Amino acid sequence: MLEIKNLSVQASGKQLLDNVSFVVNAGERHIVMGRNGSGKSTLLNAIMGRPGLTVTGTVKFGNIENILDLPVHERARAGIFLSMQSPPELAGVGNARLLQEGLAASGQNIDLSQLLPTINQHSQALGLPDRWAMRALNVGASGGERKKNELLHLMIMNPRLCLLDEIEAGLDVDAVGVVGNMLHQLTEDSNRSWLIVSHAPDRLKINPTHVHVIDRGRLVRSGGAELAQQIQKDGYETLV
Amino acid sequence: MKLWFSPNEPDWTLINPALRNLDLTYNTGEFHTSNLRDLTVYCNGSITRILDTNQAGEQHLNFSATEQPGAWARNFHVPRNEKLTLFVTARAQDMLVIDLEFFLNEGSELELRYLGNSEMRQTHARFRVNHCGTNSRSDIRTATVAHSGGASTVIVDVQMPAGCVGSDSAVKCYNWSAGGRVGSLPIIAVAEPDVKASHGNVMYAIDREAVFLLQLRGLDENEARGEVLYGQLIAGMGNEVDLTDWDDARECLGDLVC
Repeated sequence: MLEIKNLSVQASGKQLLDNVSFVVNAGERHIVMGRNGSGKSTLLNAIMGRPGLTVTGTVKFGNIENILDLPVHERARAGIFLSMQSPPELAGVGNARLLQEGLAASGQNIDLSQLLPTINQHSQALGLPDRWAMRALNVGASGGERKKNELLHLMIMNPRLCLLDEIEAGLDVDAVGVVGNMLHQLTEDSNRSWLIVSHAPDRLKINPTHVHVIDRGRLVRSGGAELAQQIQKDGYETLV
Repeated sequence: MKLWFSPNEPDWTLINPALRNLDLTYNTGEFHTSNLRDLTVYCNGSITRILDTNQAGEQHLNFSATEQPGAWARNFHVPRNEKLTLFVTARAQDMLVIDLEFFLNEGSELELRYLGNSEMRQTHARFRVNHCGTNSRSDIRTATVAHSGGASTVIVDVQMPAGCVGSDSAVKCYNWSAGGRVGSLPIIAVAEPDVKASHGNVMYAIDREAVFLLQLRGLDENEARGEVLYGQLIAGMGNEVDLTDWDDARECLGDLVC
């Protein structure tokens, strides 16, 4: 599904990622771990085309030979979803309308009357406040609510590839439980692939199929779920 | 720009701007819209009422248009004991002159809000309120013009004869809502990171993170920038983004969306 080859990223003259390569197949759950500032978020942002990054290499997604040639919105429309680490607020743009427009942009024209109950249902399941769908995007929302809102968008947009950037950050213990349960259900879907940056995948109740460790912009280790357990037990010192 | 309203809310509620290229000329043939890109009028809880009324050629909400390019004017006659609630958002590319005149009768009320776009070089909005009866009152909640560059003016001229509720002929008193205001809201869009810009009192830079987030949800860059800018404009006007009765809103707007 996703084939990353020799991905290197620079910003402001600094090398953030260096020659990273790996493959994410359909249904796989890849966790990316590493120290703060090691390049984990850069990896996700480079895949999605965040402005300000100079990216080389290729990223094949499905039948698209190199998504790095596409603008951000076309990558999204192709079925890649990025949950931001720090989602901004946006006055004047309501959640429900944005989701409807996003779906329409991807060719799914869904009437708001049909969409709204689904959004409300998911919002309730995530423990978001009443009438969340009608509120402006993240305006007045706590950090935890913003992360839950990203997950809400993911559930509505139903992408083929989900990139999550530290979705557990900023969540209190209860919220981590809610998000973890939701992610556990979602990640069991064998048709969807996941690339998740996390410091604590066990808190998210995700059973990773692959774990990657990035250090100083380089992919230094790849393994299975046991690698995440080892990191959480011993830290990165013995690995990098 | 698409505007969603909640007609049952006691106060104005602006939901989401996204309705683009609304053309009202087919409805009446009365509007001169050579320079007007979008126009939405919301009146008395139903956006269709004003159009239906106009199409039927009947009754108390009487439209008129000037022949002057880029300008339009309307006369609103509010019947006795009725309340006219008017929301106008107008978008033009260069200059737009808006001249609204209201005639209030006994017991009638007026609420007014106007929103212009940031691309107009010059905008003049004038709201004239005439009181025909002795017991009418106006409640002007907001009259704001947004602009970038050029000059913008908002004139609210309420003619209120002595004896009207809340009138003070000596000072031309307006019956402002608690949050009512009139003024010019400057919007300066700064798209490049190395550009510094300033304005007399308010400056908005486009929130690049917000643009990126909207792009991540499938909007192209221009759409995303437009949404962010307009959202900032709405926020600057102090609107609450909400939707309480979307069914009615959709019904009202459904026929208008091109």
